[in-house]
Amino acid sequence: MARKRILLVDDSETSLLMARMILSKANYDILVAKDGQQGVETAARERPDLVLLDVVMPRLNGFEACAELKSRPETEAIPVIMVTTRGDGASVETGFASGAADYVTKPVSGLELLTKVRNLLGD
Amino acid sequence: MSDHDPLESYVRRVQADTHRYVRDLLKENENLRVAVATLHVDKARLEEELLATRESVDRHRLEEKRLERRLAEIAAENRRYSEEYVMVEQQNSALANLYVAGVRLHSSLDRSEILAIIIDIIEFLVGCDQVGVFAVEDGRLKLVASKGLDEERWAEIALGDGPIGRTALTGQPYLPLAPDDEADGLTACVPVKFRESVAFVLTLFRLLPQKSGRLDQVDHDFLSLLAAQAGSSLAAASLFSSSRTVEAGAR
Repeated sequence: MARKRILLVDDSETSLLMARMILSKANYDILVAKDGQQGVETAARERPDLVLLDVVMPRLNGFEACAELKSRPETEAIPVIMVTTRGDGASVETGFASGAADYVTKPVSGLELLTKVRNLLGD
Repeated sequence: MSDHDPLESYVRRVQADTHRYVRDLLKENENLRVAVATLHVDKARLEEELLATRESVDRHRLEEKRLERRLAEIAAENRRYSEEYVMVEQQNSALANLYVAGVRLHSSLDRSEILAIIIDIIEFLVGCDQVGVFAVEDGRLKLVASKGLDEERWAEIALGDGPIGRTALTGQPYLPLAPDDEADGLTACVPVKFRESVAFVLTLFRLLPQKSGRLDQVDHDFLSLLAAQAGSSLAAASLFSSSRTVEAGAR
């Protein structure tokens, strides 16, 4: 069976490296994009099984990128987890309103992230 | 009495009836004796069965209690394993943070890039969106990299002035357990040393909302190790820069 693929969209190398470390334990293939626009384009081209989307990013922020993914027929079914430094109610609500299936806050807890990823991927 | 004497005939009939009745009674009596004996046997058997059943119930009750105790032990063991699992995951997470910080800090030999990486690490791995790095230059502390800070206000600090100045002067980290009025929003202050002298001070102001307003012991440990790694990385950048300058002068 082909390994599931996860697209990480984040402009911080530190966050990307951390997410890679966490997800590599669970044998997922990792794709990377450095901003929201590139994230949407990569998702449309590669059709990953799941997208982890940072909120604060250049070009297209995470909320905008998520709404864009949900508006495109080829990417609307891909579940999105927002990864945000803003854990307040309003930000979380905005994330869900833009179509995110779940969210995690930074600093990312490995256990929490893996649990949410596995739940959404049905692993 | 003649054979046809009605009285005699009546007596004989009564005698015969009586004999038959007595014989029937005896037979019935015998049947009843057998029935009573059978019932006695049944009663004894049932009493034995009842005793055996009671013993079996007692045994099952004991077994039930033993199983309940075992179940409680297994539940406790399960809780202990879950707690250990969470603890191991936290340790893994701390180690992953250190690994990521180490890899990132040693990925560059450019001072300004390293300073930006330090800010990035503190923001995303510790959880702080107001961060500053001060350098000890000409006997004063100068803000050389920051995120979310009023750069004009924090541009310079005298050595020994406030928690940041004192950290630079004494080389001791400032890690208050509770908010400090004198600290002016400062959450933590960690010295970065070159050969035992403080060269930089890492300062953390406002933490992310999910940090509940304070740093844990694991954050304190991480900041101390980060400062050590940052020190060697910045020292390497400084040496690299000096060697480039010497190399350029030699040409």
